[in-house]
Amino acid sequence: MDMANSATHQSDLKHKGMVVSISIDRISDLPDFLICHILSFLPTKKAIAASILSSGWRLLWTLVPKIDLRDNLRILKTPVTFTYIAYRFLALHTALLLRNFRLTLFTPCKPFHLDTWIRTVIGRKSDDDEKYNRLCCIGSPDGSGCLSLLADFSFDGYEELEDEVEFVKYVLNEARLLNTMAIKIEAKHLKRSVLQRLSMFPRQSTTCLINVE
Amino acid sequence: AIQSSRFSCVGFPLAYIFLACKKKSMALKLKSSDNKIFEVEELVAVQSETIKSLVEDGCANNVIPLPNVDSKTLELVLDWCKNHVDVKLDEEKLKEYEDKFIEVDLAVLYDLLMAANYLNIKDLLNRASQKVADMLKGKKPEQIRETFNIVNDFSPEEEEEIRKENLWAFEE
Repeated sequence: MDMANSATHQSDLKHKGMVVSISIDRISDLPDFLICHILSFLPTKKAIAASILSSGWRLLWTLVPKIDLRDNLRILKTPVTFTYIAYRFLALHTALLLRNFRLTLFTPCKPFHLDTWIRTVIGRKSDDDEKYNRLCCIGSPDGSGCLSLLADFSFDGYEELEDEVEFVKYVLNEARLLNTMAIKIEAKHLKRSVLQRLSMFPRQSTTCLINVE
Repeated sequence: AIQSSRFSCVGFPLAYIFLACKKKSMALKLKSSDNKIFEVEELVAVQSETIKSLVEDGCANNVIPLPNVDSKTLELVLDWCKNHVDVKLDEEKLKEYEDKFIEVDLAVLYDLLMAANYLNIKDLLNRASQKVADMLKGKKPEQIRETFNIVNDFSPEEEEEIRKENLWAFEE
């Protein structure tokens, strides 16, 4: 963190001279879609935080062609639930083009909600090379039917706990358009056995690749 | 219209012209906004989707005018393209090149963004956007405004209101 701060500080210093010499706000002069493209390289939370910069930036986050919402509220002080944030966000986010849709859940969420969120974004246009919006879940929703459009699935820190196995099994069985399933495990020596076990589960998608790393 | 005038000026048989056009990696002439002519190999230039479609439509026989890109920027862009002709090249070296390439002043970075967008060069657009995003990262709003010289036109009350709307987004 300290390192990052000092690097930031350095670049601040470096650009201070610049600011004086050009003295015009060129970043806000970029077309909105370019600023949105830039914002799409940040987590959605940071794009929302950019709304405070100036009136020109205020609503840009609603047009960013990427959604990457993370349920890391346990460490936040704000007394809101992730469900509230997700509903509010999706109601206000109006970008017609959506390249990437990612929800990262650390706590189980009712499949009913997940289903609603996914339905909200299904209609959005996506780049032609990425036909389906991508969704990534970590957590354990226990319903069915809401994963029909899932294209990529990743699971970090898989430990073969019973819940986790059930969840992965559920995803394989539900997601009929799944392209890749990436499972990251800590115990590297178990790679082969994990892969073997996962390969035994019935798969809805005929083109799904399972990677265990 | 461009083609027909070309044919009438040059008195060669048609077949010869077709052969000349079909030749691999033909040189293209690009004209910047400040009227400088750049002669580049087709393979280099067609990394711009914009130029590529001009070539495919047969509109690239004469000089291709690029009224939205100045010569300074075009030179940089073409250097990027030259280094990305064969992407299977040493990945590490390419990354090293890209990192060095993108270490430029903000003003140049904006020019690159606009040019990459106009010329439709995806990897350059993404690398430049990533660079700006990196500069936004880990900074407080005041620091971002200072770096990019953004004028805060909110009153303190308005600012407070916006902060309240999405309070969670402003927590570290």
